[in-house]
Amino acid sequence: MSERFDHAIEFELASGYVLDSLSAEDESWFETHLDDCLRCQAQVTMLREVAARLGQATQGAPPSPSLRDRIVSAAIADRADQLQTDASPWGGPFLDSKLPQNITSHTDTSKTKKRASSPIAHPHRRMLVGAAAVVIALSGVFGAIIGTQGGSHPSVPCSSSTCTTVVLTSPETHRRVATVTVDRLAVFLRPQGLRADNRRSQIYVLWDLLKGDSPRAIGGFDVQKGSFHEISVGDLRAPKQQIVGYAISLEHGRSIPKAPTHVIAIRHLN
Amino acid sequence: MIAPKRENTGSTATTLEPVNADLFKRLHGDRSDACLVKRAATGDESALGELYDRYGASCFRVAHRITQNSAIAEEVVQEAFLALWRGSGYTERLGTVRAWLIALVHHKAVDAVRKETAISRREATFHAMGSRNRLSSTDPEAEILGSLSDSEVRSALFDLSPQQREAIVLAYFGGYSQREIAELTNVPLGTVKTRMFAGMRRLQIRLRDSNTFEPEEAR
Repeated sequence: MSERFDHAIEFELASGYVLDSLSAEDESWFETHLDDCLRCQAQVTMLREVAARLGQATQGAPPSPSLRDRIVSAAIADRADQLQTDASPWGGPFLDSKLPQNITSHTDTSKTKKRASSPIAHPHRRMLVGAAAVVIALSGVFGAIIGTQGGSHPSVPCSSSTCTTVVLTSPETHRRVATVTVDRLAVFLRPQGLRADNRRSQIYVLWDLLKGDSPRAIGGFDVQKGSFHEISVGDLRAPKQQIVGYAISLEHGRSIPKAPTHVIAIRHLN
Repeated sequence: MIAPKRENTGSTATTLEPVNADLFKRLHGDRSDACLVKRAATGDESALGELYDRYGASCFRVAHRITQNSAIAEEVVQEAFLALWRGSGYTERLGTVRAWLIALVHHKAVDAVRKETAISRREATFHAMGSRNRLSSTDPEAEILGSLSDSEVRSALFDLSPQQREAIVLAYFGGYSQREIAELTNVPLGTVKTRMFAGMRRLQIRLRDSNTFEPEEAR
């Protein structure tokens, strides 16, 4: 994050942000800033505690006694829906509660659209746009070589002797979840039953399984809504012959853990 | 934003099994809020129910204060708890579950009132509050402040300047945007932003060492 800006501006925005009183443009800018600014993240966390005290102190009538049961019933029904859509070959619906870690995004779609077309109001944003243009230009050069994550490049057909494919299935439903293609050491994955993850708070991880050893992470990846494009995940760290299987886990947070915590797909090789 | 790494589960087996809620409960007797959130996100409806028991009533009161409508407030609360259920991305680094959940409810309640039909309802209620209180010479802000159950919070708000207090009360309890507050109070937008920042800063200092909250049971 650039230090050339006076952080008083950001802290002022943090107060309005916590009180949900920013304009759509300010909120959009601040959320983008918040992703990379630890100081503001800490400030928002502290102010949120203050706001919670205000909320806690609010008096009023209680909710209806049936609300608890309705919430639990809705949650159970939601889980059933999720299991159903996980089996869909198209990857299932986008999570409507795709909440960033710092609770953003009013559900008003007009605001979402407004955010996308919002004018550049802050010098920091102009810098980001310029940097993004450079990245996009470079990715066009490298994308054809290494493949892209959920991008528009066609997959490399697996027809050579150095290329193998493996289908991973859900241990619960036994339905296809993804196809992994290994070309020499490069590993690609095509989602076929994975629902979109929350890109700010979750990450999928592909693991290779070695005989007599712990699973090892090949790499993390995200799945976009409705996407079935091939994703470049990473490289094998062991010879293909030593690998006895592959697994996919869905992890909380954006870091790859030392071991999988929530396995959603697996395949043991013969 | 990169979250802290999770603890190593120590798994060395090559055969992997999904973590399920029952196993989690057996292995972990922790009933802390953070643990309940994790359990709820893995499909444990009893954990979700327990979180509701702890914070449901408070969440409803916040939502109702802003929306002035019980049905909408209950919808907002339901949406917030379903967000927890679906794995909304809470980590302990974001602060307490209480603060995070109330912030989520507040956010959704404000979102609800900014939709067209809710706005007119809210304004009518707010003005009605003023007219009702005109007989007793109190204003809506004073009524809100007088109704707060936490004396420490009430005292901290009264320690603010009237302008700072007004800005915060209108924003938090009224769901007004900074621009709307500027129009209501007839001051520049920048002034509202400054007052809000200064007021929250003073509240933060005043309430920092006195977090005596105890989770309540809704039932």
